[in-house]
Amino acid sequence: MCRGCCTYTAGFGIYKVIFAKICVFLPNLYIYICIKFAPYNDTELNFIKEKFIVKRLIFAACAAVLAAAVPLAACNSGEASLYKAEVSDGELVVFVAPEVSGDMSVKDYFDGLVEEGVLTYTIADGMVTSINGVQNPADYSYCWMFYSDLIELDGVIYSNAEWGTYDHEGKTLASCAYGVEEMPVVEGYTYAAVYQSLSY
Amino acid sequence: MKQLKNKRLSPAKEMAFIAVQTALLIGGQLALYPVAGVEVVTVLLLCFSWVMGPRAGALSAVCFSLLRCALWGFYPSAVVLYLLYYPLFALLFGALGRVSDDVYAHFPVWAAAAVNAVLLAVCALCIWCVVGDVLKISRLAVVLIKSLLGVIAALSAALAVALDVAVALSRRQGKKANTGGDMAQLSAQNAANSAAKAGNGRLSGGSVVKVIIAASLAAVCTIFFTLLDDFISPAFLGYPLFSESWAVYFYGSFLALAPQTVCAIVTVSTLFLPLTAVFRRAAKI
Repeated sequence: MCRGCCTYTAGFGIYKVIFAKICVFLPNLYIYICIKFAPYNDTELNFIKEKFIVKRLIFAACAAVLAAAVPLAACNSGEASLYKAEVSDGELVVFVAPEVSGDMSVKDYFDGLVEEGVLTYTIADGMVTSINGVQNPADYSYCWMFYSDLIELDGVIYSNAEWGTYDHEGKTLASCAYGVEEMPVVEGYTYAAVYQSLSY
Repeated sequence: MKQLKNKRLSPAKEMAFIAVQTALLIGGQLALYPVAGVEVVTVLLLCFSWVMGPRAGALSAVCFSLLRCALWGFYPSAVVLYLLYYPLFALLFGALGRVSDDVYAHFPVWAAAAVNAVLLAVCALCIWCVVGDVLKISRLAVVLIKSLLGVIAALSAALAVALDVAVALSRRQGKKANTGGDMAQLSAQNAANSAAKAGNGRLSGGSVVKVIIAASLAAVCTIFFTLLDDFISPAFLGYPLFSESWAVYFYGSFLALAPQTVCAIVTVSTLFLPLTAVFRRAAKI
């Protein structure tokens, strides 16, 4: 779960200042390296400094844009009313999303389940590598696959039956189109992690 | 900046450089693959091809592609994608590196207009994606992707402005050298001679133009790479073109396209001149 979202947003001013300092510092560092490794006379130095007006313009533009854009990417994770799984063992994990405030990912919900002691898991490079101690083998003959009955929401496709399906208690869940960090948890929908063999 | 166009490396030297470059590319990819969207393969291959020429660049691209597949698996779509894209990339920038310095110093207006058109098209496309409801991707990622597309739009616009300023400055420098008095002509000649003597890594009127051209084309090529993957991989997976499955794959690719494009622009803009100087010094030309 993303903790400290409020502190992140409140402390953002410090990061803005640091980022702006870095963007001013970098062009000067660049000039210093060029001058250090290839000594110039005064005429050439003036020429270089004049030309670097262009580079500084670019850096300044980048700093302004990035400083303005970063708040948009600020963490805005939600909270669930409870963290509970219908099934949690070495081959299957199933939960039905409860009421969720804000945007919550499957990874955030898994973190909540970990805190409740319902399951354990590991993740690497955005991919779940083990759940409840059962790891993906090195040859990926078996793998933890994620399914959900959240097929489409607001015009966005979140699961695709053509990629695979899993039946659970009369429900047909489709293969998730996103990883656990981008798959949203929406109230009332079912999510399943299944340890199964991969067939190509 | 001197070029290698009339000076061929010996075959043994060329092979050694290709081998080292392949190792650099693989090492760079291995080091940075956990960091999503950040890579140095583009800037390294670009600068190497620019200095060493299209043949050496393409050969190192082929070696890198095959070695990469050997390490991560010979998946048909990856093999085709890498063996198609990277050699073409190396040939493009190798050819650009063969263009005379005078052309960059006195950059033609029509070429500047063409580059401006490409940059403004990328800028406009990114702005359209940001303000319109065209990105059908996960709501958990849409804000970040729109932010990155906004950054790409701003960088593209900045590059276009910088190119126009650099071309105007270069042309003004040229006019002063041609029409000035004895003192102006002498100082301009001295500056040019000093730059020529110093050789590698020296800034000249055309250097900024080269950086901008390289960064712009690197961004376009990075976008092209992702779009190429959006056709090749679904084809191998058996998804019909423009089907629902294809659409999911296409929109999901923006999660990689946006950060990779930003990375390409930033790394090429900042590392092009130092890296080409290093490669040239290594070739001892």
